[in-house]
Amino acid sequence: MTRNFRFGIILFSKGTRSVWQDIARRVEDLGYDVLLVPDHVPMCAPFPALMSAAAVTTRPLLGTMVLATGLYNPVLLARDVAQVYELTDGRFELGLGTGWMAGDFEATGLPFPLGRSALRTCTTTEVTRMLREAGHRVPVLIGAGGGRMLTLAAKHADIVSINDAPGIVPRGEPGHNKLPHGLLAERIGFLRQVAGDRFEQIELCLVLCSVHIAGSGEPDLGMARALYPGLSDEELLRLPGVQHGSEQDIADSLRQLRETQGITYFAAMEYGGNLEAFGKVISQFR
Amino acid sequence: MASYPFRFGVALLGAVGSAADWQARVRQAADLGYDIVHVADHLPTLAPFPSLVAAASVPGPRLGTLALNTGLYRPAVLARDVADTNRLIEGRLELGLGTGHSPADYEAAGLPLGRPGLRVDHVEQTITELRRLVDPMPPLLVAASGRRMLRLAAREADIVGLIVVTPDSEQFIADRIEFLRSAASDRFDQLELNLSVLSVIFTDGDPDLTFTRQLLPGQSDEQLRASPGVLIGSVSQVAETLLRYREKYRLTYFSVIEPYMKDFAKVIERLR
Repeated sequence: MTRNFRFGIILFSKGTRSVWQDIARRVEDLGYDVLLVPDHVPMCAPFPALMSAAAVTTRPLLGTMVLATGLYNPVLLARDVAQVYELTDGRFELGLGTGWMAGDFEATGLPFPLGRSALRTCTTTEVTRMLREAGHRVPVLIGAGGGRMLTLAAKHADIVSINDAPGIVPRGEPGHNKLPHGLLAERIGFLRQVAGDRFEQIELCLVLCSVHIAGSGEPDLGMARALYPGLSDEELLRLPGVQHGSEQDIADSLRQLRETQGITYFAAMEYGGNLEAFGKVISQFR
Repeated sequence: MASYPFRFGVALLGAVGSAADWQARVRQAADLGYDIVHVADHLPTLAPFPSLVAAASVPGPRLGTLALNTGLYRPAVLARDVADTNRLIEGRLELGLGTGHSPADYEAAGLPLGRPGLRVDHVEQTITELRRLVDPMPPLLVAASGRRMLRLAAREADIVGLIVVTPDSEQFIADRIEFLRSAASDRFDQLELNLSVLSVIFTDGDPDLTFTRQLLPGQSDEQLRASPGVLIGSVSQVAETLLRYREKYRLTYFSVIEPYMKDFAKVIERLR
């Protein structure tokens, strides 16, 4: 079975109601399937931002990419999720991750050890379980790179966003600080193995940190450099999360990722010119 | 002495449902003349901030929490929700904080209830953090009944929300206003004073206290009738009671719960 492509945008913008809602309308107009918000302190509060976007859009799904689950009390989080799902008439996808930026935990006064990956993984399991038990049919995306999160995702997730940044894997686990090229295939292979029969039901997602249409100046690799430190620009441009070329080239590259890796859901970060550039790529598929 | 105009609020209760259903309820409150729509904060429903953002599609009334169960939140995460909600609803937020009084909510959240003093400390720390992180800070209501919360409210609040939860007569209000006046000293004149109305019953005979009994369990009917938060009489008698509360206690801001929304609107009409 080949899944349909889906395209998302992870919005970093923050602004007044009218600025934010204009961006949400633009996301819908550009043909995105999913409008996503990240979860960092002090970026935008995810649920208020999504509810505000919901008020001015009708088609795109709304989602979190991804919540730093360790910041939340699972019961309160489940209440927000159930409420947003209800208020958007089911137009919501819940993205959960462990939370990986120490700064987020510091800002909230939680010592980072409290957010140690094992504990954060527990919270993710807990929230997923509570939602299922409460009968909510909210699709759950889990952002995963390390072995423990991939194993958790294999069991619980409808969608898995594969993180191929080397730093995401805790010290001591396979892949820690390895060069990222090839890590994507390796991690999908691991997921396939632990998911067993469930693998076919899981939608695979990849986050794109740069989408650059050739002929419009130089690609902005700032985000890529921050996420994959220590790589040369040439190495960065070969990463699957860094797309550069004509609209047609990039569309072909995504088709190839579907062919070879089974990835069908691509979510670009709103960084540099990505919002508009990826919109042009999406029109190649319509 | 600063004198605030009358303000009236209604707390919408229970499940939210679809955005269309929810906004219809908010619109009804606005059409009935309410100045502010409140949401409470209990588990498992409803989620205050997403509900308030969804309510903002209806223009007009301010939108507030009455009151957040502050003990359930980590201040920095709460600060982000407060600041962004207020920005996304264009400054219409009025933030009400309380200690949380329902053991069931703490139990559901898997958090210890803690003795009252600790819960008051947490509210105080939360206010400090909010003032540091949230700019502009929305108007702050502090819901108070006990002395510690009244002292905190006297120092920090823009609005003090009085809740009558124990069996008491109008003397309850008189005592607390006096306590607040002396604790707030120079600040007292700036404080806007709010009272949570528990029941509004229009009758010239025996009031039907069925619903009131559920709100204040364990109290005799006589105690319920004497409670300053239970308004009984004709529309004009209830209006006169509120005029008297304004005259004697400087209470100018009254909040009812949704089951009384339509009835209380008749009183609002009388007082405008």
